[in-house]
Amino acid sequence: MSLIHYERRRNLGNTDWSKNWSSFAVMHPSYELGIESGRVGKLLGQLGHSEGATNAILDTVLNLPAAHGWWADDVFKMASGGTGNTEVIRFPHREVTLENRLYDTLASFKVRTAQIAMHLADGFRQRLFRQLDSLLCTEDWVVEDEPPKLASFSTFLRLILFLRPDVQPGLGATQDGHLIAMWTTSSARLSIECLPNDQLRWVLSRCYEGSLESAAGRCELVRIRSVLEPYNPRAWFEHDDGLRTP
Amino acid sequence: MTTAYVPPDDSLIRNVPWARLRKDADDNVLGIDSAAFRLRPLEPYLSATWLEFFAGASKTDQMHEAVRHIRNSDFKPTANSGFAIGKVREIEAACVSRSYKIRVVHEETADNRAHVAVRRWPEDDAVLFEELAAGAWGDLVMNKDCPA
Amino acid sequence: MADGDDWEQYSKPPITEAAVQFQLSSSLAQSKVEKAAKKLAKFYEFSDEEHVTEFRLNAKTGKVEAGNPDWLGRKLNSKDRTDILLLRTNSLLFSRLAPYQGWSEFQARIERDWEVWRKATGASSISRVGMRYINRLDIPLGPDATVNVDHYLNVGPKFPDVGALAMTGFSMQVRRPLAADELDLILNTGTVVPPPLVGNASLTLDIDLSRSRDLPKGETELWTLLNAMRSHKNRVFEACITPAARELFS
Repeated sequence: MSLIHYERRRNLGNTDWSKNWSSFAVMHPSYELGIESGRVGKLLGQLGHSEGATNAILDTVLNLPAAHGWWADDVFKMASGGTGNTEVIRFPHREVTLENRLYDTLASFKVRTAQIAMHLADGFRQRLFRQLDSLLCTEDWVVEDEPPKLASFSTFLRLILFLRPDVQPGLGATQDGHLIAMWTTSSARLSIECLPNDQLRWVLSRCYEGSLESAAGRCELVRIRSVLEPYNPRAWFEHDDGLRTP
Repeated sequence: MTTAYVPPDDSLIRNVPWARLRKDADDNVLGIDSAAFRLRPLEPYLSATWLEFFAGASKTDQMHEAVRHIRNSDFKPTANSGFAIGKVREIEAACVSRSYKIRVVHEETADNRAHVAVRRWPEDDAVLFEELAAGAWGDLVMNKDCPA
Repeated sequence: MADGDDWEQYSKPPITEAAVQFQLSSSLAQSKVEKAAKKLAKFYEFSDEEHVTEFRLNAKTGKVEAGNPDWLGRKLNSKDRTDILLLRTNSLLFSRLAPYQGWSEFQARIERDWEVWRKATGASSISRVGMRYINRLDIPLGPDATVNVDHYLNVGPKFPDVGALAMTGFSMQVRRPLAADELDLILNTGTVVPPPLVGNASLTLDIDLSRSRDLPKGETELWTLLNAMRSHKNRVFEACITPAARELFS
């Protein structure tokens, strides 16, 4: 038997799980949850989760740090005795406010960065966190905008580690929860919108002999270098002096 | 009822949130991102404000008046947001080049007498939006640079 | 095996999380934990209260019963979310996420926070000490997109030749007492799916040491035990990895 520790919004009457959960902590080491995930999935289905929401929940759980594992063992011992078919799921909760949503988003992004921080230069990471602090600041956030999704941020990190640009991008966000990585020179612009599951939308423009050329497309992350090659991406990604950043 | 089109030589001003401003890695603002021109789901038109609706000795004065008016509307621009300004003629030309015949219509609302509805706006045309952001609708003024 | 600080030994330590837990001999009142949290808050940017609501699901009947919310504890975080302190009524968990800055820094934080906790709560009797280091080896894939686990790890699954194709994943746990310092070892290893880096395969090496008997009474002995656990952890780690693995993070 395994337990899942949900972080769920305080609104016990609302069973729209896809909107109400924010982040999760696995209560056993992830490998063990992997074995139990089918059983958990069945239980989530019985609670009325859609398949999509169930998969999203499990996907998030399997990617979290195991810092919560030990206290969870205690809870497991308390809850598991003699319960037979009964599963116990414990939900921490907080009030839903924009501030809390952005706070949780920022926290989850920093924790996600920690998973690959050994591959980032410290200066890059510090600057990234400053950018995220300002991007997800309540005072400048449009209430109607969806906070960026963790899955989008994951794609962004994988993009950075794949491209290894010398020049760190600027950061923006779409209204529907996707991070935008931006590179700008005096004559050329590149925006890469990071969708979940390594999907990218890119758009660029540059001035060439007095007129504006532009192009846009969508591709898998592994294709981005090939797709951008005709547009001289070195102009965006490399320092003039050859310094490396990430 | 006659449709009140905004004259082609007049300008539109539209708020750009901090998240859709182009920045470098140190958060220095460099311009407007193309995502600033996307419609929200079910939005029937793109909202903007008519610059020349306001009196002023200069374009700058008109722009400041427009910003004051927007600040006093139900829409509250955030401190670090910006305003994209573009000429109707150039915006329309950019759209025509992508085969869109937009309608730039003055439609006063309860909280914005200078409100403009840009109708027949494409739901999602990344190339068009980039060309607008980099050119036809790419003049940027920061909210904090406009006087109270 | 080098006795030097991990951080000094490898330029890119593969540690994704280092954690030390002290389980208390008896539970404390919430008020005492909160008092300690207030004192400790000055060392951390964020202090979040944690509550849980318990739902009981019966898989057979499909019925769900909800309980009342319970106070769980406090979670303190540094601004960049890499230094974490979980305070519960019966335990403290000190956690450091990547980038790992070395044992000296981690140990100093543990000692500092424990001292504050002890003074605030009066609780210092420990029933269990745990130390867990979770490492992840990110291995660039070759042209054939396979990784030979044995090339990087000295611990892994043994599988007979049954004409099967290349393994697509594994997970393994080994539990055994160490013949030193009354420590128990749980070692987990396996593939990470999906790997965090494009074009890489990733393997975890999760080393979990604990001691539940004959625990130190005083602080000097406690720090001596932690240092010993760290040495054992290093010894296990170095024994489990190959020179090829070392090249990944040197």
